Amino acid sequence: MPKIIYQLNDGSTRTLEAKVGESVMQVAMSNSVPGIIGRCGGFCNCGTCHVYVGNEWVKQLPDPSFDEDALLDEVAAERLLHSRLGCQIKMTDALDGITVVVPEQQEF
Amino acid sequence: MTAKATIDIPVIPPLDPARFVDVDLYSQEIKADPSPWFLQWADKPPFYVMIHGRPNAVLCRHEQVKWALSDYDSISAVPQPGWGADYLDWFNGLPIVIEFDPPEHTRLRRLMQPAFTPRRVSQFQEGINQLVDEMIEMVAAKGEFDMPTEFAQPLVARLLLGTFFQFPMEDWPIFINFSHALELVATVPPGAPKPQAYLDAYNAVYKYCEGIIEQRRREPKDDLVGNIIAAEEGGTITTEELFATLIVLFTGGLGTVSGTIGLCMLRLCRHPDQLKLLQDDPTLLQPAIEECLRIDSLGNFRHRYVVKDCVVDGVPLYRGMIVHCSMGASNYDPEFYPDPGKFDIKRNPRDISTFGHATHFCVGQGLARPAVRESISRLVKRFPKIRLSDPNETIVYGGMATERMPLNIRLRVD
Ligand code: HEM
Repeated sequence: MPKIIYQLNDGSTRTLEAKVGESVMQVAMSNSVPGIIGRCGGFCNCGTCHVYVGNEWVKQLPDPSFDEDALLDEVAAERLLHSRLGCQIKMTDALDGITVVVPEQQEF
Repeated sequence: MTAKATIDIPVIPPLDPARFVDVDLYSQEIKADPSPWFLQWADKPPFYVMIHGRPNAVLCRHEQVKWALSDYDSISAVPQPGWGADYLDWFNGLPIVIEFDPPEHTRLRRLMQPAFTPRRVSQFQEGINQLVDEMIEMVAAKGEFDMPTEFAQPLVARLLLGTFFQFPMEDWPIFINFSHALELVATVPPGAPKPQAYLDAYNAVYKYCEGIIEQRRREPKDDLVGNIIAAEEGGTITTEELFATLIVLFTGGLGTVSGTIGLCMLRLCRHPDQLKLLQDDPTLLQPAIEECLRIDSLGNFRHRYVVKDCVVDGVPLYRGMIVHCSMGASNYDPEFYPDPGKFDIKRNPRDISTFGHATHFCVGQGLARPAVRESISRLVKRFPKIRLSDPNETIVYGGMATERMPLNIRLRVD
């Protein structure tokens, strides 16, 4: 099972196993990872599962869709080059070990 | 071919009589306190109810409700005339965003979404705080007040109609009247004309929107309303969809937000130990609000149409049936929320269904949440002795048939 490493706000990390096809948001939600909210359930609707993807991983991801791109412009924390929505990152074996940094804020 | 001949009303095969429950989903009893029902249903397979002579299915488990709200190939949001939900027509037949499946849904949703993102909504935070504080000072002077009519409803009108949409105050009643008139829908038998009071309120809103559209065509503005109007001009949406979208946006948040503020305050006042916990420890605010939203979902049900035969937890759902997805019951699923009937502000529930799920997930929730949160937080802080004037007061519930909107809650704050 591919692993996801979440870097949390308090400086700690959590490493969790994902099923192939599960999203970075779903794995965070089902394991109560703090700082990832995922209000809408993973449909690119709310912008509350924003993560910063580790540099070496970001190029392995498909480009964001129109809707993801638009939402990323409007997330609560600053959008950076490697900002993505956790719900849109579907795990594959190739992503085993992906690191994502949880931003300070998801909503107001 | 006449329009009538094109209507396809599937014949529902015989259903297992043992799976029927004899209950009126829209009764005042369920609105007043749905918890006994939800506690019974939330860990059970779907069941059937007869509504206006047709079998409907009710889904209550968390995972099943979420499935039904997201698998639009099986469970569609597109109205099917004659299938048994024609009476649930809150917007007088207008093609509203909630009644489309993707990909058509996306056209309308994309027009609204940008106005409600976390960043946009954050611009209103200061305004919300200020409005809440002003309302609080108004009720403080009274000592005793009615929560819905003297606090929540005027607050939400000022927030949505005044601050968010910037309508002149003298025009607010047009929207408020329509929002109140929604409860008149679904009280008439299928096929009967809608009550005149509803139609009058609807026509007034419709006419007002015509005025806005005309005015904006003369003086275009690059904002939420401007973009929606431009989409019609650009041919992305139809004229009917333009009206539908404006009316839903202008009125959809009024009753829902004020009703939710009322439900939260009522819940806390009925549980003084939990209220005190929150007052003593303000860091519990976020989980307390989430728990209030979980245990008192404003919406009990949202309906959908079965477009493909399927079996859910052993229960067949046939094409042609109406499904009631119970967001309220989903929030009581013991697998997700142990001891679900217990109001525990430290629970910090996740993934609640109060704002729906998936593609139709409430577009306004980012604005609704801070309004609810700041209202509750500031009321309980400003009034250490906030309590029900009369714990035995009978609370009457209005709102749409599928919702529970408290209409009277007298509170004392002195
Ligand atoms: C506490 C307050 C609110 C509650 C409980 C609430 C609840 C809901 C629910 C359950 C849905 C999903 C309906 C379905 O799937 O059939 C929904 C959708 C929607 N809500 Fe809210 N809502 C609230 C506030 C607001 C506000 C403030 C606005 C706008 C100003 C709004 C506008 C909408 C719209 C336009 C949709 C349809 C979205 C779509 O179909 O894509 N709501 N709401």
